[in-house]
Amino acid sequence: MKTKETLIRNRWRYLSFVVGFFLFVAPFALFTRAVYLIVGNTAEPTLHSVCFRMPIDWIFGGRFYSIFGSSWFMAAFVFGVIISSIFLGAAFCGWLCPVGAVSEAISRAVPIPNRFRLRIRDTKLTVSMRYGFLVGFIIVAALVGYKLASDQLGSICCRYCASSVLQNFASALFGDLSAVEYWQSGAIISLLFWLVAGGLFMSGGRGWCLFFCPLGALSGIAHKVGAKLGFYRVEYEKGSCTGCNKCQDLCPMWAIKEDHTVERTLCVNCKECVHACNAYKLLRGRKVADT
Amino acid sequence: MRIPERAKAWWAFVLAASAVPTSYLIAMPCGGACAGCPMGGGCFLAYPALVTLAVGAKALRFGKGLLKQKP
Repeated sequence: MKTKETLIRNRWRYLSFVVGFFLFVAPFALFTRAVYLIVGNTAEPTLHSVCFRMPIDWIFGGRFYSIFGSSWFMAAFVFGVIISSIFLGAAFCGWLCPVGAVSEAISRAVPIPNRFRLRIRDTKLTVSMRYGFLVGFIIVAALVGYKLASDQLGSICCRYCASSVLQNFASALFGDLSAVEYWQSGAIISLLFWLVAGGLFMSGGRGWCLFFCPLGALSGIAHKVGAKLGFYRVEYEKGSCTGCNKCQDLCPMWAIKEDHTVERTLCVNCKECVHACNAYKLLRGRKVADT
Repeated sequence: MRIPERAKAWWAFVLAASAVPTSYLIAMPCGGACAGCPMGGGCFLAYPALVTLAVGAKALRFGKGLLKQKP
């Protein structure tokens, strides 16, 4: 019953996730295929063609020139997502990203009681950890990029990549047997953090998005800036709140603070709080009077 | 934000920031293959074990809470 309610409440978002899968994941990768067709690129597109992390690794690893090279499309996509977050919130994360979609879907579909799922109630702690991991990602990118660590290390985004895991699952599912050879320790660790620890055993199923996705973290910052400038955001009105805490239980990104206001850096515009309670409203334009 | 809360948030930030390079360096010799890693593929068992421990601890606390409620 609860699963059915969740499905009905999120029907448009889940439909959008399916669209996101077809847009970015091979063998379909319709979005990338269309762009490749326009620019005359003959390569076979996969989820890696729009890697959500590599351009960030390039910039902090001193390979800024790479974003102007043959992979310019990847960089344009990532910067497009970050810039769009200023105006629309982190809508890509909440509505299109196939990586977050799969872990959230698994979390919602498998009926493990919430008491067995991990959740950090303190949003300040969640934000600290999220941006701590982002800084850690940047440190490793710089260590490897500036040759301060061994060349054997390789890029952090390729070693621990949930997108690669998803792409190889999808490729194997659609008959590409070479994808079976992909599995190595980094992939297994990513799989466990993405779907088991971050998906099944984390409330909301977005542990990977919360802690290990640099694009998500940067989109969160962009959304916070956009909300301050008066663009698209969810606003809390104290007068309509009954204190039932349903918003906190439903939010997959743990973005509802103890005082029920929304932590912008975590919000992905999924609208779970808006559907659950009249105290939350979607707003554009300058902030209404403080409540 | 009060000072203890601020300290807790900074502590979490520093821990998270240092955890990524540390875990990355520990896994350095693995080179993307389980057999090459000093853990010898142990992470395959270690991470589910960690999750089980965390969930077990949570269940234990829940059980204790239930027992306390009874007269």
